[in-house]
Amino acid sequence: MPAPAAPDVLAGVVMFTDIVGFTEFTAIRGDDEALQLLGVQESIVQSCMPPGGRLVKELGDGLLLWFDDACAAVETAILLQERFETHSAESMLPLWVRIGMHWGRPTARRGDIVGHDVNVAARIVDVAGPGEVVLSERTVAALERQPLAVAFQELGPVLMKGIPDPVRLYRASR
Amino acid sequence: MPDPTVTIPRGGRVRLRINSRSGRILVTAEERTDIIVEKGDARITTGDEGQVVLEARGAVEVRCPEGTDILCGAISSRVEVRGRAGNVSVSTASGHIEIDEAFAADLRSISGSIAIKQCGEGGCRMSSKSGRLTADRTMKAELSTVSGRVEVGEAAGPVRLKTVSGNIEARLSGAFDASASTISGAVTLSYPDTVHPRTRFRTMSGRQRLDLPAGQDCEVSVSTLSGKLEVVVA
Repeated sequence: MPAPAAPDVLAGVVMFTDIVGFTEFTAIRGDDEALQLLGVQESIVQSCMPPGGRLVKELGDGLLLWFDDACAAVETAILLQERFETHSAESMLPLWVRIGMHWGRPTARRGDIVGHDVNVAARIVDVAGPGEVVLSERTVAALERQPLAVAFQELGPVLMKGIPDPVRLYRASR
Repeated sequence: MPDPTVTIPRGGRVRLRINSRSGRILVTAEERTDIIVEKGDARITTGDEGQVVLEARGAVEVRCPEGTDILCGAISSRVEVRGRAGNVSVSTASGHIEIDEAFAADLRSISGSIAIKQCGEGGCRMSSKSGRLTADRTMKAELSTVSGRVEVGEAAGPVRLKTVSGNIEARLSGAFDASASTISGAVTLSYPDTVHPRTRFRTMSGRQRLDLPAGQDCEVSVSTLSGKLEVVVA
């Protein structure tokens, strides 16, 4: 009997996005416009993805993204928020998106990524407000260079349900 | 048993970090030169550059010097800061947050309400999913919630306000830019009658009301899908 294959452990940034108010938008404007909103989000995300970044999966109105490089992840998140804001200002489709990210070593599993670091990233997005990019200290520590014109503001130690230790979080902005 | 008091060197900038999962966290910033844990089971350690770390179990009451920067992480704790603090950053999952006065504030709660009486030049940022957000007096402000109400008593700086289904009410004390957006809630912004803003309303079905003469004093953008929009005289 062959030995089980070693788990495929990755190293990089797990990013979650979430559209704020999607349920209310769908209730007011209906499914067709809700699908249009998701389509706009997806097309903006696809147009901003750098080499080494990929859309892992859609989670309702949210997305799970993966980046090999922390700096590219931060710059992409900021760019996404700028594009979402521009689109929201020019249309009646409110792309109020919050973004959370965490550097870690998840395990690849049939195209998906799983593990504690994915769970941490999922909790971080809950801390972000619409239009914000919030990231863990480990993501900041993994930056090999200063992302272009990005400032980091510490939000302090954040305790999250199901995560035993406080995670020091930062807000990234231009 | 660790000493529950830390004496701060004169002139040092103090940064207090507090972690406590539950129980009320009360920090009083007042004229004093030390940090003291008055109540609660807390381990207090000092770090570099005036940093004091307080790991608490359950409820805790702390006194610290005026102007102390406070960074606090909690899950279900109610967090209160009394007196005049420096930069205040608080994050809770379900607890309420109440701040008397801060130079700058970043306050986040998933389901708790958030209130600040006075925020200085650093401005205030608040974020919640279902709690009510209130800033009595602030300079610039950025407040967002999903189902809660957003209220700014008096803003002396630009404001950016968002709520999905709650209402927004803000009074600006001068010609400051304002952006207020909801999906189904109502928006009321009020200015002194001397302000002549350039106003942009965006709505699918909501009513609009503009009581101020059009001008170029500041940019005002209000949008909703279905709520009522008002820019009126304070």
